[in-house]
Amino acid sequence: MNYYIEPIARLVNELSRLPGIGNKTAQRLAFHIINMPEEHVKSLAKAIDEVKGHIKYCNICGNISEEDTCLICKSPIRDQSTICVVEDIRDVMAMERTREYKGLYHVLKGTISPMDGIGPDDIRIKELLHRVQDDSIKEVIMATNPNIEGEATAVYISKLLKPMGIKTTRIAHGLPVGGDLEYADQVTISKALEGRREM
Amino acid sequence: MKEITRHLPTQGVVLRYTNFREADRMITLLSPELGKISVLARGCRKQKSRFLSATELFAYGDYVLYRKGDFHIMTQANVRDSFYEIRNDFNKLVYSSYILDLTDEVASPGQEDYHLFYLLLQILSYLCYSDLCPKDITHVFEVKLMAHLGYRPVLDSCMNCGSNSKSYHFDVREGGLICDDCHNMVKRGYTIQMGTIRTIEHILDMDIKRLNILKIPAPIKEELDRILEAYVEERLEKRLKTRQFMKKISRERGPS
Repeated sequence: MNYYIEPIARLVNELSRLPGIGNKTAQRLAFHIINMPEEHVKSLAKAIDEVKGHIKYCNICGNISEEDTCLICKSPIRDQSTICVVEDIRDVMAMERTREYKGLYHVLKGTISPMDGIGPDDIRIKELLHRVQDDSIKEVIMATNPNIEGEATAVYISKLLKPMGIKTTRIAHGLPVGGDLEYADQVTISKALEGRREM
Repeated sequence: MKEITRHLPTQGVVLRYTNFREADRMITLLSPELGKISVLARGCRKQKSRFLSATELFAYGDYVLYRKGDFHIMTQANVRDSFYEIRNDFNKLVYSSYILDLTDEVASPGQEDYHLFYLLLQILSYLCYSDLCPKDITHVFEVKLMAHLGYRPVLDSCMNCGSNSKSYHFDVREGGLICDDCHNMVKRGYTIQMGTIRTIEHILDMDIKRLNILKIPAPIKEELDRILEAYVEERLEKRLKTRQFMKKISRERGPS
């Protein structure tokens, strides 16, 4: 790296810390930044600085927010009786893109994974149990990923919620839109059959 | 020189996976013919990927791998059993994860081992489909696995002096029983009841198909757990994270 002058070497080094960015890509990005207009560079640097300084985690649902409570939890038009449990902040965004769901969220920040030594106490299950003690909560939708860890987490939480008398539902499994039945595996097809509905 | 490439059809069980790039996954597969191998499954995390369920933990299926040098790339996969019910029971998941972790630790890369493969399949089937206590199934796996690896414990007489005694200790370092006199001399070994010795002997000689009629009383179960944990750790020369996790969960929830 000593064939670069110090500021470029530092920028390449910093960029290569990002996921999926190797040394070559970092060099390409660094030289692109050098050729960018100065106001764009300043705007980029400011955005990076602000995102770290201003972003907090919502003290109710764990979603990212600019204030102590996120916009979704604060919104008076959202259905306050339904909580959708997701693994990650990105899953909140995925659900919001559908524009179908109008309730609240709860971000677990992970899933139970014995292989990685992550147990129920290491994710935000206690916070969820505390939230559902509020009588206004009527339904909890488990929207964790349909993989081993996600399923196990959903089943674990549903077993905790059942004695509390709260309706617990699981998002449907099945064939992806635009998919091909021929290429679907038997688990997916059997789950799709289980979850069939009348037309 | 052009490298020789080959398509290898094999059965396999997924022991471990690591996600990388946008949608790829590197899986550790246990194959009866090829032993433990690393396989690249390209794009398997995409919603429409035909490899999606074949790259999940516990998946057992038929795989076609493309070998290029030391590298394997998944080209076809057909899941025979995903052991789906394991994920519906937290206890079963914890014990099954330890079974996979232990298998991953002992399996040799590139070396055929039909016995280990079928032992793993049978144990996963019992964990998934039977109502037997997951802890008992795990103990059977540990005992059978240690014997398969050449660490069958010596249970007929004292390993040090060869004498027959009325009470013994289990020395994990030597891999068998030692009498009270030898125990006082070497100052190591776990207390072991005659019932526990008989249980280990029974498991060693038992056909795994008869596992469904195995009943282990609670005091023996606890002793067996303590001894097997130490014995496996001594032989592996390491403490598995999943074993620690299993212990922690078992402690929090009380004896099962």
